[in-house]
Amino acid sequence: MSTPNPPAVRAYLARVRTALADLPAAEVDEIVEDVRPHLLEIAEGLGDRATIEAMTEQLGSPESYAAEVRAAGDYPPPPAEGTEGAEKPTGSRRAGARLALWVLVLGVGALALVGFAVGREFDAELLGMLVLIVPALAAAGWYVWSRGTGPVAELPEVRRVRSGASRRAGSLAVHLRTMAPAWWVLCAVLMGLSALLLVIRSSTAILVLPLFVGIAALALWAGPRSRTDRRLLWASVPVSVFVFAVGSGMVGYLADSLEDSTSESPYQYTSNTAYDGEPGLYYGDEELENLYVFDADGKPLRDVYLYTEDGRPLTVPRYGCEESTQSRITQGRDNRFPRPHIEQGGYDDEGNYNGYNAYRPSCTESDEVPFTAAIPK
Amino acid sequence: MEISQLLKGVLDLAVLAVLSEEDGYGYDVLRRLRQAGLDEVGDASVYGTLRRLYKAGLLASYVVASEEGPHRKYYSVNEQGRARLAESAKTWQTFATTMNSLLGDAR
Repeated sequence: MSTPNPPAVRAYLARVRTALADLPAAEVDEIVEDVRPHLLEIAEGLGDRATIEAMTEQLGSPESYAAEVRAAGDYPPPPAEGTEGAEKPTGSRRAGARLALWVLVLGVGALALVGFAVGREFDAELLGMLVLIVPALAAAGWYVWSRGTGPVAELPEVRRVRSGASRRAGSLAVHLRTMAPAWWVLCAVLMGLSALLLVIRSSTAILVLPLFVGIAALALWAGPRSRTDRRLLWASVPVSVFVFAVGSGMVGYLADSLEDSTSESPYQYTSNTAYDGEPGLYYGDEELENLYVFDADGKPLRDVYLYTEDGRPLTVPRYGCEESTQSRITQGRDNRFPRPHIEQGGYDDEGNYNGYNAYRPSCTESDEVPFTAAIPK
Repeated sequence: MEISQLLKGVLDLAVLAVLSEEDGYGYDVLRRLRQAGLDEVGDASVYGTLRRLYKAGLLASYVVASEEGPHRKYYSVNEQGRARLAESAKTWQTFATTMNSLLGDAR
């Protein structure tokens, strides 16, 4: 690292960069890395006469150099700024670019929601929503394809996001880039699987099969190319997000069905607690508030205290009536049975009980046993 | 006929051939092409071609630290690149034979 970049080399490279500014920054870095050793050697050969003019004499202008790289490298043509320069600041171009950008952003958001719902419900009918989203995205994509991404990149909102992102992204971006090829293949595979699952669930889903195949093909084609051709972001980003959303929806769906299947098992653990979180009294699934105890002659027993097999009092909430509000309230917990039988109802103005117009609540406690028991001898 | 016109079609093949002999960085590839007699090859075309072949998955690249100057990015031909080279070489040879026999009378 002993030779610093001579200023002429730096100036030349800077102009090459500018001429290639519409390409992804990472790709421009790669190009510059290839070119730099050559320029350094030329500058070294020129010695003290190494000026940008002298280098231009040998290599041609930085702009034509960039154009040659672009042509030989099969990069998309530069955005036609020179010819439309006068029109640039005016509204229509910027408005079109802005529309294309925001359709992409909103479309991607909508796709995320639909994708998640599709993955979760596995209902092909939800895909009907795509009829609205896909044409909008396609129109935006077509606009960008024909006009280039230059106008979009010039939008103030894009510049702000980019300058903020480039400061932070760094290593994450590099990491993602190395993962990218695998991701596009994964996208295609996931789309294929989802299509299969949908068709298995309902035969009408066969209608959307071409859609999923199309999305898979788009992932494989546009995905890898979007690294060097930003216009394809209008295809690759929606595909990525849709696949990711369907995938996460499916994860949720699988998690739910796992949960369902465990709760159906006879070995489930359910906490049979009363409203207050303390243990309640259950017979099967049904919570019991009261127990009636009879002796061998069928005579109801009063004030019986119940204990569990290991001697703990079988306490459950006790309910009673509150005088002032005529409503049922809890009065603590104990293990004395039977509890008074509580009846709640209402009176209307004429004193009819539980009539159509009843509005005054009533709560009555009764110690009577609401049934008789015939004990088999 | 302009050699630069002819070069356009076969620059891929030439670059793959040079790299299949030995890995090289961009400028190195250019120099070896010129040494082989392709004087008219454009500097920037070679770099563009390298990037295109790399993007097409025919080349791999790795960075080598250099004692003088900045590190250098080397390119090497991978399996896919070798297959393409063999295929293109065959096409070229058939084409060249055809052209030679066509031009046999003109010579």
